[in-house]
Amino acid sequence: MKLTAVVFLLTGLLYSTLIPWDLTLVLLITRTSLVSDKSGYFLAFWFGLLNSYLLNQPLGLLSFSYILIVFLITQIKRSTLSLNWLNVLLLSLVLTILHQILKIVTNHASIDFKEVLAQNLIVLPLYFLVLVWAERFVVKRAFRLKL
Amino acid sequence: MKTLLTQSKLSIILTVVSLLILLLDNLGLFKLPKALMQNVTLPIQYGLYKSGHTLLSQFSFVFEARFAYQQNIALKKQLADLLSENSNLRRRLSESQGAIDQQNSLSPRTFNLLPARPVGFGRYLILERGSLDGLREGEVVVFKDNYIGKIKNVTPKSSQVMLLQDPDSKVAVFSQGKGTKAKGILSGQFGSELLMDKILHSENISEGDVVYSEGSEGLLPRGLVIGRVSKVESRENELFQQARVKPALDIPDLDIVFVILN
Repeated sequence: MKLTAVVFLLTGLLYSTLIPWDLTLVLLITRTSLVSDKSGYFLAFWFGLLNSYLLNQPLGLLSFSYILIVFLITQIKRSTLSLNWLNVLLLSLVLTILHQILKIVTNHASIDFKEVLAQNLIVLPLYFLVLVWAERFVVKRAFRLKL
Repeated sequence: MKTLLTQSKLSIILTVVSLLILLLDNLGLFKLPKALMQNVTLPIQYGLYKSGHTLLSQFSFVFEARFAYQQNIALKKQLADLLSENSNLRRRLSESQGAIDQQNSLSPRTFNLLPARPVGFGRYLILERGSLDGLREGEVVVFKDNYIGKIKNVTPKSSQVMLLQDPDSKVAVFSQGKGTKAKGILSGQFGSELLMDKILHSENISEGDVVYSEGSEGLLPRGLVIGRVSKVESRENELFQQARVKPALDIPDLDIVFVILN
């Protein structure tokens, strides 16, 4: 969890300084698609606050957007739709556009399709990276069979 | 199910908290904490920004090299175009200046002048104007008030000018200096000097006198400058005096000449 927090912190800093793409959002989408726990909401809330502060946007705005996205993904996971890499890509496209629309409404700016395209291009590599990470390096709690 | 409810409750709580924070931020309650935190985060952001750009600039040659070759070719072509345009503009400026000087020398009210550009120089001076431009054989070619020659051959698009230096050229001239005046016939000799012949012994001519056209034949106006007397050859046992005349103009230096139309 600590490593995850550091990675999210780094993506937030990179977003506000060097890279014009919301890596936090993309990472959140891929992580939530693969890992089902409450920590996704906390990550969305705190790092949404951090990104809002670093980007000089109204505090709470990005938190709200990220929490909404995490909630939607969690609900879709509970449905019969399986979240394989193709579905994650499509879902990511929809959610990044939704995120852009929210930014337009609040910032009175126009949709940056280049940002949407760039973010969706890195979804797949990140998805597989998080997948490998979650399966190979994250220690799962041992479970006992009730006999 | 329990997990589901917990997660939904959590998402609602966090959403409400986010919206509350948004509202409070819009009211300006977080200005001071944000200002204090910026003392910490701004240096970090600045450091990351500068480091990133420094790192990227190390690899910029990788991207620029790809375009350097094409840019080089484009710049070379642009340079060649500019040199050509410059040369063209200089020539046109020279022609325009020549035209202005010509108007100041020979009044356009008296003479109908057609500008023509020399395009070749050998025995004859070749002009890029011909019969289609209204040129005829025998018409006089001048530059300012200097006589250059006479049109010998005309084609539709070009014409040949017989120069003063041509051995076939014979022009009636007179010389004038301080208290001296003489008449003669100027004939060409291959070389840089002309020979003024048939000068009577009774007429005075000396070195430095200016030689002008007589204007007694064909279309040649009177008073056009031919050159200066460089040497006088006078022998008592000969019927006439002779004088060497140095032409006033160096023909290859001319970018434009003018034809006096009939």
